[in-house]
Amino acid sequence: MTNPVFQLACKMLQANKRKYIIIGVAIILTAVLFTTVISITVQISQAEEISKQLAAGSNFHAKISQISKEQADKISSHGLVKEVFIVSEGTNIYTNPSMAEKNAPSLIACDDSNILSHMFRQIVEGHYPQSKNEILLDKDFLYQLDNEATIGMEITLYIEKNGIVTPQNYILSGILERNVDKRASRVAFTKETYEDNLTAYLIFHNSINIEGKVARLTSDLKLNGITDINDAYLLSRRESLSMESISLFIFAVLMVFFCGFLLIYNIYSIMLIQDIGFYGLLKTIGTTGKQLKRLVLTQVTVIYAFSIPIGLIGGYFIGWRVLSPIFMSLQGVIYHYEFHPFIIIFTAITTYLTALFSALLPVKKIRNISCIEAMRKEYKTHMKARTKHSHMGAKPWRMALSNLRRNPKRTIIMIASIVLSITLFQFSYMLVELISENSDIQVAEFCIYDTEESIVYDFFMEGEHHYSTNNKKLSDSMIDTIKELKGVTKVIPIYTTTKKVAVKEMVANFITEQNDIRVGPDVLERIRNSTLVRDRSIVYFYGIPEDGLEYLEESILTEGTKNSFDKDRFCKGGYALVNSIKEKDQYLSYYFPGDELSLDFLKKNYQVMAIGKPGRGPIRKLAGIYSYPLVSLDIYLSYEDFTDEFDDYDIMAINVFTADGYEDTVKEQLKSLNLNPTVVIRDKREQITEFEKRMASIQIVGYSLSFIVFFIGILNYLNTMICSIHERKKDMALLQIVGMTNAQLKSMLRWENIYYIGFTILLSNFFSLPVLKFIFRKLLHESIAIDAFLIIGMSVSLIILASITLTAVCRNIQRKKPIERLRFS
Amino acid sequence: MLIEARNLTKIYGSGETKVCALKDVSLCIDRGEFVSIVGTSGSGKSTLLHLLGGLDEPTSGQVLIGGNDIYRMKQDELTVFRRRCVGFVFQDFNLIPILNVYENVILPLQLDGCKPDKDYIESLLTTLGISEKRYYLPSQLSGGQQQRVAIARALATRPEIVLADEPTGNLDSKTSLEVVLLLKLLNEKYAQTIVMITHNEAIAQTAKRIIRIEDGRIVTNQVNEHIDQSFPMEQKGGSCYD
Repeated sequence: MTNPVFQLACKMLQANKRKYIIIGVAIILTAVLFTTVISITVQISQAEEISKQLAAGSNFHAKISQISKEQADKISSHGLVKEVFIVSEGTNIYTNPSMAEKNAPSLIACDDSNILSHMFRQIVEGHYPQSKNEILLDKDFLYQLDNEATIGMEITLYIEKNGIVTPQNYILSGILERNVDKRASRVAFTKETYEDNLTAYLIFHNSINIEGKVARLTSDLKLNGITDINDAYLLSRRESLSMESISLFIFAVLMVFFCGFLLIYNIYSIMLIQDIGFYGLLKTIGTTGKQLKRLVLTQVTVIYAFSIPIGLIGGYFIGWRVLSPIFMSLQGVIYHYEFHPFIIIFTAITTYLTALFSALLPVKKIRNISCIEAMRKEYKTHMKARTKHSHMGAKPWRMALSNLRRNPKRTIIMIASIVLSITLFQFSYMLVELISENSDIQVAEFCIYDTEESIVYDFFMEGEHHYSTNNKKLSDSMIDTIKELKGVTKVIPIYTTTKKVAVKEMVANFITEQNDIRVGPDVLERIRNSTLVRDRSIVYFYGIPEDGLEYLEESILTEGTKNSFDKDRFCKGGYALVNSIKEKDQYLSYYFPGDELSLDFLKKNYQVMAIGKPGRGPIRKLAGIYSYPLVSLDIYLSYEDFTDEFDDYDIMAINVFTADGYEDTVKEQLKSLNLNPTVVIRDKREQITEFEKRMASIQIVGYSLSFIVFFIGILNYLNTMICSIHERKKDMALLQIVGMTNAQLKSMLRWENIYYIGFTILLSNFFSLPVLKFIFRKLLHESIAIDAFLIIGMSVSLIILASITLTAVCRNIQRKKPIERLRFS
Repeated sequence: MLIEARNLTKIYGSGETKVCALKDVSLCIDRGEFVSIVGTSGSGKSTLLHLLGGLDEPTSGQVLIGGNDIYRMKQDELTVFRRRCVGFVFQDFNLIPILNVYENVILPLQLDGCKPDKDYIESLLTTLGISEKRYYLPSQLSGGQQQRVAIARALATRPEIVLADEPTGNLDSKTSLEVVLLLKLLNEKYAQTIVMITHNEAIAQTAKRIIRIEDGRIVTNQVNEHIDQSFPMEQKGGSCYD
C-alpha cells in the first residue's frame, strides 16, 4: 500500500506546481551559493597550498635524510607512506671552479623520473638520466654554462666534496623548463648512486598531521636520520586553520544558510497560511501533528530531490568551472585544482538542512492551530485586537503602517531577510573592492629586477649564498648609467643581502621574560613550534634609500606600530623596521618597537621602530618580486646603515621613474643596456593592463556572487510582498466595497513598500555596515570605506523593482470585481 | 450512553470582544440515536457539535464519549480517536480537491494505516450513488454528489458517531432531502449515532430527537414523537437508496 502521506504530498506538489517551483528555485539558489562559497574556500586553500609547494619546490610532505639503504626500503613498505622517492642528495653544482654562482642547483640523484612531477619540473627536451653520468639541467643554468647546449653533449661541472672542488663530466640527457616559481631552489637530476647517506622524500596518504606521521614512522622504524617537514604544508595549514579563515568561512556559510532559510521559510510560511484551511481539514479527518510534519517533510524532500541536482550542477559550473580558471590565471601557473567530493556532500547536506528547517518551522503554526480555526482560515496574527480608533481618517500611510504592525513577525522576517541579503551583498562587494585596492602595482614606471633574486628556500639547500661583485646582475654602475638616461627623473634601488642565523639564537632573543609578559606563554609556544622545526633561518636585510621611504605606506605596518614609524628619524640611521609572521589571527614578531636589535655580525645595534606585515610588506611596490611569508626575519635599514654594515650585497631591484611621455623612450634605452636574460624590465603600464584584466575576472565573479545574493534577497522580498497582497485579497475587496478607490488601495500598498524599504535601508546602515566594518577590521585587519553609491543604488533598485511588482500584482487583482474576490477568496 | 456533555461552556475572545458561544450545556446521546440540533444563526449549535467531536476545546466542562473524557487526551491521541470514532460531514463538503472520490473516501483509513475494506467501501459508494464517479475529482461533481462523497468519507472508518454540520446548507431542497434521508438510512443500516445540525425545521423533524439551542443554551431537548415520514424511501427512487 502506498504511503498516504507520500501520496498526498505528491498530489499537493502536482496541484500547486507554481508555488513549489518557487521553493525549488530557492533551493537551487541556496545550493548554488553554498557550492560557490565552499568552492571558493577550497580553491583559496588549494591555491595557497599549491603556491607554497611551488615556492618550496616540491609537494613532498616530508623528508628523512641520513638514512641507510635498508632503512629506505623499510620506509617504502610502511603503511603510512603512499609514495617514497629515495634520493642521494648531492652538493651544489657550479659552472666554474670559483663556485661564486648564486642559486647554484643542488644535485639530486634518483632512480624514479616521477620525482620531476612532485618537484614541479618539466622536461622540455631530452629525457630523464638513465645512467649516473647523465644529467638533467634547467635552461637558465645551461645559459650560464655559456655554450650552445645540446642533448648528448658532454659538459664539465664543478662539485664541492669535503671542501675540495672537483670537476665532474656529465652527458646532458635533457633540459628542464625554468622553475615555475623563482623562489624555489634550483635542482639538477642524475641517476642515483645509492651511497649510504640517503634521503627519503615522503608522500603520505594525506596531509593531515604530517608531524605525527613522521614521528610514528621514525619511531616504528627506529630511524635516527634528520627529519624535515615541508613548510608549505605547515604554512598553508596555519593559514587555512587561522581564526580569521575559519571565522570567514563560518560567517559566509551562516549568511548563506540564513539567506536560504529566510527565503524558503517565508515562502513556506505564506503557503501554509494560504492553505491553512486545507491543513485544518486534514487535521479534522484525522491527520495527526506528526503526519502533518511528515507531509511537509516529504514535500520538501521531493522538491529538494528535484532541485538539488540542478543546484549542484549550477554551483559546480559557477563556483568551480568559472572560478577555477580565474584562480588559475591569478596564480599565473598551470595547475589544476582538485574538485573534492566534500564540496558536493557539504552543499547537499547544508542545503537540505536549510530547506528542512525552513519548512518545518512554519509547520508548528498549523500543528498548534485548532481544526475549526484552520478550516475557517482564521489564522491569528500576533497583533492584539486594537480598540483605539483614529480620529484622523483613514489615511493610506497610516493604514499601511497599521498593516505592518498587524503582523509584526512577518514584517520582521521580511525586513531581516532583505537586510541579511544586503549585508552579504555588501560583504562580497567590499571584499572584491578590497582585493582591487590591495594590488601590488609598482610605484615606478619601470622596475628592473632579477628573476633569480635570492629568495632561496632552505628546504633543499643548506649552503649560504656567496656574493661576488663580478657576478652581480644589477650593479651600482648600472644605476649611474640609468640616472643619465633621457627622460629618467628618479632612480630608487633596493639593496639586499642575506645572513644565516641559528634559529635557536633568534628565538632566544624573543623568548625573554619581558616578552612572556607581553604576548603570553601560549604565543611564545606557538613561535617555538613554528620556528624550531628548522635549525637555521635566513635573515634578509634590505637597504632603502631616502627616496624609497616616500613610498612606504602605513597599511604595510601592523596595527599598533603604525604611529611609531617616523620616516625622518629612520633616515637619520640607527633604526630598523622588522617583519612579522602571521600566526593564526595575529601578526607576531621576534621584536617589538623600541627593542634593541642586536645580532653578532652587525657592527652596531639598532632600535626597532615598527613592525611590517609579512612578505616584504614594506617594499612590496619597490621590490619586483613579491614574496610571501616564510619563517624568516626581514630587517629593513636605511641605505646608509645598510652600506655601512655590508660589503657583500645585491641590488634587488632598480625602480626607474620617468617624466610624462618619456616612458617608451626610457624603455628603449633600458633595453639597450644589454642586461642579463634573467633580468626583467617590468613596465608599470603592462602591469596595470594585466592587473585590470585580472581584476575584471575577480570583479565579474565577485559581483556575480553579490548579484546572486542580492537577487535572492529581492526575490524573497518580492515574493513575500506578492503573497501578502494575495493573502489580503479579501480584506482589500472589503475595503473597496466600503468605498476605498483603486488609487487609494494602491497608495496604501505603495506606502507599505516605502516603509519596508525605509526600514531595510535604516537597518542596513545602522546594523549591517557597522557589523561588516567590525568583521573587516577584526578579521581581515583592513578598514573599509562605505560606498554611498552602493547604498543609493540598492535602495533605488529595490524601490523600482518593488513598484513594478506592486503595479503588476494590483493589476492582476483588480481584474476581478471586489465582490467576486470576496466570494472566491 | 455514548456521548455525554457536562456543563460545556465556550467563550471566544476576551475583554470587549468576549463572546460566550455556549453556556453550561449538558446533554446525553445514546448509541444509535439520530439527533438533530436546531437553532438560529449564532445560537451556538456548531460550537456544540465541534466540542462534541473534539474539534475545538471547551472553556470549561467535559465531553465523555464511551465514558472517556476526550479533552484529557493529548493532541495526537484526540486526533487518532476522532479519526477512528467520529465522522464529520460539513456544510461546504470540505473534500480534498487534489484527491479523487475514492482517494478522498479512503484517506482517513490510510492515515490510520489500515487497508481499506474494498467490499465495504464499494457498498458505501453504491449506497450513496457515487460508485461510478470514483475517479472524479471533487471539482467535477455537483454539490449533492460532493456531499455524498463527504458522507462516504465520514463513514469509511465505520465510526460510531457521525457529526453533520448543516449538511444540507449548500444544497437545493431536493438534494437536501436526499442527503438527509441517506443519513437516516445509514443510521438504520449501520446503527451509527448521528448528530445533525440544521436550521431547517422540516429536516430536523426527520430525527428521533430534537435539541433546540438558543443563545448558547439548550432550550428544549425532546424525543420527536412526530417523525416526519413525508420523505418515504420510494420518493427518492433509484437503486442508490437500496
